[in-house]
Amino acid sequence: MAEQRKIRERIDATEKTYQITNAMNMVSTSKLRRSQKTLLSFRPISDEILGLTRDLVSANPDLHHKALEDSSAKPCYILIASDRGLIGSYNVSLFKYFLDYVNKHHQSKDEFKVATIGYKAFSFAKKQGYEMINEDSANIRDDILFIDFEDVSSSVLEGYMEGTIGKTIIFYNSFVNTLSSKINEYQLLPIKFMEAEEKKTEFLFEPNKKEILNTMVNLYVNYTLYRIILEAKTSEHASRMTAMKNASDNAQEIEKRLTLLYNRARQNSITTELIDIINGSNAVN
Amino acid sequence: MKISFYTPEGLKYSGDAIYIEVADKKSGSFSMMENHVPVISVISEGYIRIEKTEKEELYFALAGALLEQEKNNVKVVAEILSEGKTKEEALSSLESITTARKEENKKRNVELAMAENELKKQIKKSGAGRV
Repeated sequence: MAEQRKIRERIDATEKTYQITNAMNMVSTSKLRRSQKTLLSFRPISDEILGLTRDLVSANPDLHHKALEDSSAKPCYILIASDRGLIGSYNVSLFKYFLDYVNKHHQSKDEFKVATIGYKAFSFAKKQGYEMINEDSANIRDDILFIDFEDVSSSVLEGYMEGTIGKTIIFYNSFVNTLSSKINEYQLLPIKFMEAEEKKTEFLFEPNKKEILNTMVNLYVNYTLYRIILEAKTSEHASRMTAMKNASDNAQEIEKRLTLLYNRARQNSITTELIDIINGSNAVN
Repeated sequence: MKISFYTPEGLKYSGDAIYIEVADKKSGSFSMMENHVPVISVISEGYIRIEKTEKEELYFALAGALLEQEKNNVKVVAEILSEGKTKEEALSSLESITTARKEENKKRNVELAMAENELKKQIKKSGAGRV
């Protein structure tokens, strides 16, 4: 009886696990759809900012900005991970990739600085003992806004302008499809442009080109980071969806096996009871 | 003139205007009317006043914005945007959105954290590794 009760408890717990993982799978599916939509609608805006900055710089070779020039200061790496777990290998593979990169390019931890977005990236960097740019974790919410990560982006840009950090690379998971993602590196600073297209319209710059460029660089860093965060977020939802789908399937499989065990135990106890009754009856006769 | 405001979530406002005033905290202000020369401007923090008619006006407080005007079409892309009937209303609404967001960030994801803990508890109880 005690064994049966234990198995019953395990079946109940597995059922609850299935309910939770299945709900999370469905939530992730709907979040993934929303995230993809946001990413698609934001891409043209981000391209516009990038295009205008590029046009402004290429049309005015006399305009200079530190963010466009190379720096020999310590490089800075921005890690974008998730806030929460239950996401399969999404964070682990990113951290493994980053550790391999760091081991390949640096002798010690003092040779670079790290900025993080997402609680898991923050705890990873803290645990590794890296020199950090941000003191607190910048959350990576599902409905992320610029103000959620502006402390990180402004610290990175200020650091680059002051010469305390150099080449800045972002490490993140980019969305390929619902079943797979790819770890990408993106150079945020110094800003590198592709070949500029020729603009036909002559624009007036208010108040002046230099002021515009200063603010454009800020916008460029924020909008690029935002776009990459959206890509990482889309990939996160896809990974969670797959992980939760697998977990739900496994929970169902376990439930089946536990039910079999439970029935076997129940059958055993019935058989034992029957034997007892038969033996007792035989003894009386 | 036609003016449209976009944020990362998409189009937020679109309408006609007879006069547009652009004010930035850092670089000052300028105005535009019909047939203004093509212009590009940025607003790190400030507001845009639109006169829809001679009697009707609207204010948009915004931050991290880019403005582009070409052929009487004004396109504004902003990181964050807030609308108001007066300048004060728009600016205070923008400030309250920012403050509320920062407060919310501190308390966020409670449901997910609870679900995560509940799941961990149930997985342990189910003895999944011992089947």
